Amino acid sequence: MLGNKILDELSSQIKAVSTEADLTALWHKYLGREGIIKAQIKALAQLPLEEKRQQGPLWQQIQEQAQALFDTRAAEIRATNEEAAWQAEAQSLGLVPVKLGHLHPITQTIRKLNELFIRLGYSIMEGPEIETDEFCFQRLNVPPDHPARDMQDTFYLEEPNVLLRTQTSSIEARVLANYAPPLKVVCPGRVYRNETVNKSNHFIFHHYQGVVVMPKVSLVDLFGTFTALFQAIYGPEVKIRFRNKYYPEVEPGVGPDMQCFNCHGTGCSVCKGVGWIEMGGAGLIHPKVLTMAGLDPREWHGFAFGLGLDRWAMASYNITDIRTLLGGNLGYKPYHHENIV
Amino acid sequence: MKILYSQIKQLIPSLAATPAEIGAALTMTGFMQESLETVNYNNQADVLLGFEIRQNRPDCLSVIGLAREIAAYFNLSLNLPSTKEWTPAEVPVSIRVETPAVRRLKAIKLQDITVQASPQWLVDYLAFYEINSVNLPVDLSNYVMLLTGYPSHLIDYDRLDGDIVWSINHRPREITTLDGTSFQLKDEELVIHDRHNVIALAGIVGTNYAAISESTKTILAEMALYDPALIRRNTRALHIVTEASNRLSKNLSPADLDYAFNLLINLLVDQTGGKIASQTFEDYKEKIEVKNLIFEPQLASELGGITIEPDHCRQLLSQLEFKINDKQLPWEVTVPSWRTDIELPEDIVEEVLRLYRFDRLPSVLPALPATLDITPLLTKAKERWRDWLAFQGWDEVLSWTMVRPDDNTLTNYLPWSMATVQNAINEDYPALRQTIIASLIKQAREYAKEQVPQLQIFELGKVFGQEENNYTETEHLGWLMAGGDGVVEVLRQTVTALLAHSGVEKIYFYPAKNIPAVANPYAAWTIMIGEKPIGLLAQLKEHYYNDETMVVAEIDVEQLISYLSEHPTLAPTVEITQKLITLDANLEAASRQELVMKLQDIEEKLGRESLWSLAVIDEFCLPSGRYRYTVRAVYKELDDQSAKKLHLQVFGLQ
Repeated sequence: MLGNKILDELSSQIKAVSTEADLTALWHKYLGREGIIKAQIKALAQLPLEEKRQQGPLWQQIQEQAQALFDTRAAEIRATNEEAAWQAEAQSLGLVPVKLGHLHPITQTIRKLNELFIRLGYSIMEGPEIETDEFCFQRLNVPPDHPARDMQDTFYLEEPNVLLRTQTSSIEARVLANYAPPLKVVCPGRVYRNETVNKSNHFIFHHYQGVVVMPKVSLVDLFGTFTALFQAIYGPEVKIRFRNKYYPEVEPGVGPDMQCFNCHGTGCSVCKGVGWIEMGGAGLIHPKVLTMAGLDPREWHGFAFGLGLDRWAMASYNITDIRTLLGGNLGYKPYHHENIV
Repeated sequence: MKILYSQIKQLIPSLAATPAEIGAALTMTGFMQESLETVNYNNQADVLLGFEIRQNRPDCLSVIGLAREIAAYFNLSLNLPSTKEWTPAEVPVSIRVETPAVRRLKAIKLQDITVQASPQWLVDYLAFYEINSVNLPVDLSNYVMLLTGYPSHLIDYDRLDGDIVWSINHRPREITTLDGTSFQLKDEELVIHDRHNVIALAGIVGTNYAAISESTKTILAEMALYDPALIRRNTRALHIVTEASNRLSKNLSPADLDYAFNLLINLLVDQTGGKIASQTFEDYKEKIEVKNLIFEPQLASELGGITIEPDHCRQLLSQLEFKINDKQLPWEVTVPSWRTDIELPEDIVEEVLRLYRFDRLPSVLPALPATLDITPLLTKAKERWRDWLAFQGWDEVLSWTMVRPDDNTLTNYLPWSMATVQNAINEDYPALRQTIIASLIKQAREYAKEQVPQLQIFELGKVFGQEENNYTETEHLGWLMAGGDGVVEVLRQTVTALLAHSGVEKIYFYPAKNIPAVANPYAAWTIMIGEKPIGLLAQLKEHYYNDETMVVAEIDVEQLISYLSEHPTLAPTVEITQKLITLDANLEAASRQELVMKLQDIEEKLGRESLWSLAVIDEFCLPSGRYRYTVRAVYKELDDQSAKKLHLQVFGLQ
């Protein structure tokens, strides 16, 4: 169609334009009163009514697309000019423009959570990524051949005992084994599951685990902590619900959901129509887990929770493809001069 | 697990809840609703609900199991399909069970069977579960599995040769399943076989030998439970997952097999015209006893964090068909036979609280007692390094820790061998990275595609290897920078500054001995702290996209922390023993030059004994064309009154 041909020509010409004056001239050439596109629109008046009805909306669309191309290019030229002016001003003041670096979105997400938990008196612990079956599964009440192992496809270095951790709960198991309670700990870290990589799944991702062991804790304490966590991330208006969900390392087990930020509970494609988004797993630490750590479950109680970090980071930083996080093509680029000192 | 709304109503006739209400109720009590679709069944509009069943509740991989949960939630009674007793024949069936992996087995022979196609209602019903109709007897077997959760297996009895045996396979052989797939058995599968042929991979799938066909007249119907771990292992080893194996790899209750078996035989007799032709064979060596637990109802309040009265607790448990045998505390609670997941008092607490509903519990941020900070020094140091590097203009990246073996071969400079995973999903990336450099080079190539100028990236992360057959991992910090002449020196200074900032005093760069293949051998240095090698600085042979030089550095931060712990810094620090007093004053001047002269004069008058710092914090242009500057003076070693007196005097404010 002629309209598409005109748009193609415009696209290639607009890329070559580098000043606002040249861009204005090009705009007049295409969209000005006597411009190429305007001329086509005017010519519609000569067409029979039926054809006019068909062609009219198409040319209207082409005009809008052309205008969008001009708007985008104008913004780009303006940004470049501002950058140049900024640098010139800095030089005139005898200052050197300095590039500020960025922290990775995952690091920033972890920091946001750490800040909250440090304020609440938690310690931060890390642990090995190459784990043993004992700490990744058995000490979390998942003995060999337990059906819950189907939930996590494991990478093995030496099957069945040496593996890449599938969850940061393994750090929980190590903390319980090595430190005397009372304990309040959060454990961010990288985890691995043998899954196919696509836009929303990766075999390397990040978890955030929380563990509390005290003489007395309850579900109300867990819910309160979780609510504070969600409010710190999503603001005080966030709606959360807690439902029963089985995890072998906790009893009772809890599935925390957040009301869908997209549809606010009415159901949409983001929440698969249910109005809520699953946000991790939690519960009171299973008596068997405490016993395996050498703690008497009659004297000590605890709660634990685990969250996936990647989706949070993606939502916060408007990243739509999980592969971006580890792929060298992050939305932020290191060439933006964010500050001049 | 899917369930039809009409079937729920059949099982719970007094149910008034809508499908949406049922979905919401089960979601909150442990069974997340996954789907709700309007369907046509038996020429009537119906609703098909789908729920997620977690691994602890195999009893709910059945229509009856889910209906039981719905009845409990709405406190209604459940009407199970009735079964009739039958009179067994006197003839025994020749079955041998040669393995303890069979937990319970029941079997019976039926003769004069007519094998025909299933009625449409049954074909449609199975289709909801994506099960293809085979013939009436097989479809009835599947129907009973969906209804009760217990899989069964029908065998063409007339085709058997000798005894039917359940045993762990002891000789490798090839079998072909009903769908025509061939498998090579090893020696550890639980199989059902006769003298020469394998009839089924027990608990998983039948073979095409002795399968039910139109010519079948005599059937052996068997229903069994096995060691779930064995079924799970067999399923994984053979990569076969079936409706049967999904159920039998979990802990189904042997006690409830009777009802399912009776229902199956009733339906086969009623629907296929079969007659009972043998005794009921049963193998049930280790009978599961009724489970009684001692339970203190107060525990539900303690773990829930709210008060649930014992009567309320009793009511909720009775809705779930738990029996409380005592009026006195603590209670002896009899667990329903189908609840194999209930082992501890805490499990009973979960039952009480889930039916009470978690969403009725308040969310209160707990005032938990203070605990010792056990955060390792390394964790804290990493945060400081990240901030310092970002402030210096470095961008943080995170990378794949699994790489191509070649990536390690080209970049490794450490005395360890490569660690690889046995089951990498991407065969090209089976190795764990031995250096951060390997990852940074890949990142740089991506940035080059985008033609990003001023490349300055760093990564803090794990590297992995094998030493003396032990897997090891350690935390490294790596840098990659691209630029013109002098870029090597810039990175050397960055590394030096970071180490000095961390408290290291003796930093050296010696020509490297172990030089990775990617590096320029004439521009590679070992980074030393004291006498300890801690990393590598090297120019790369490869250039950045516009022919810029690329340089990398990497240090072992775990070694750095360990060095710092052993060598506490002797760098001088200032200890402030008295408070600092901050006071502001305004000065007028015609130019900055005049201001500087005035400040020099003031500094001289104040003297270094009392002055901590002097700074201009604001500038304001007056209508006269002169400037007014706000100067902030910070005093030390003085009390409030003396500082103020000195300030007013020196700035001429008295």
